[in-house]
Amino acid sequence: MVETDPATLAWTAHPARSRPRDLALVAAALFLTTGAVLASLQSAFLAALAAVIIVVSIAPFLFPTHYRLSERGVEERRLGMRRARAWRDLRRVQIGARAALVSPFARPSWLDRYRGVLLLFDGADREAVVAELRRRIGETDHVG
Amino acid sequence: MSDDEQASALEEALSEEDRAFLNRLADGIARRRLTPVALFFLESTKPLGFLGSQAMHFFRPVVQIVWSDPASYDRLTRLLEKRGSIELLLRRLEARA
Repeated sequence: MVETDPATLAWTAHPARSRPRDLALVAAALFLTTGAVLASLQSAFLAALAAVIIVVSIAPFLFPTHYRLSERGVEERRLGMRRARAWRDLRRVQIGARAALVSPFARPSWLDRYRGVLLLFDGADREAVVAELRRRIGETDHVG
Repeated sequence: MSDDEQASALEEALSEEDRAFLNRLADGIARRRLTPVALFFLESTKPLGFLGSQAMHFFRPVVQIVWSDPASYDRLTRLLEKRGSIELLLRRLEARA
């Protein structure tokens, strides 16, 4: 769902809902990994731990993520966790086919994924989001 | 309140001396080309900032043996006690990366 007003652009991305085949693949991988850990290590605790690690690592795909582009900056909320970056701290935006990365680093860095925010376009008006990011951050790198 | 909002609130509450100290610290790290390592380390240990400040208090007598007036050490200890201080240092490092 996309919410638009002059000050705010907000949407909710939930890739698992729109890509059921990928969700089936995830379920299969999760089942196989948990089973393999259980069979090889004979430990229900480690098998559960493996499942939790996999689920947490693919949380952006599995769970809904709420994004908001406001006058202040970019905000991301998922599973009760909230991250926000002010426009003044962001120096680069990289646009991809399914997502955009906004980063505080002027040049590409391996730290982008830690300090930047990945905005999934799933559920968003892509053109409006890209236009807003360009307007706020300026020069844009296109990927994919 | 997110890390960003905490850091912004703290930035406004800091004294000029504290801001200048954070800038000097970030400059020193950048000059030694340790910015990516420092960013990674600080980002990973951000929730432990307060514990770090308490550890610094604990080791203060030992530090004083080799450093007669550890003013910067004390300032850093006081800064780390405040939520958002590591985020402020991270922002300064990002600007220098």
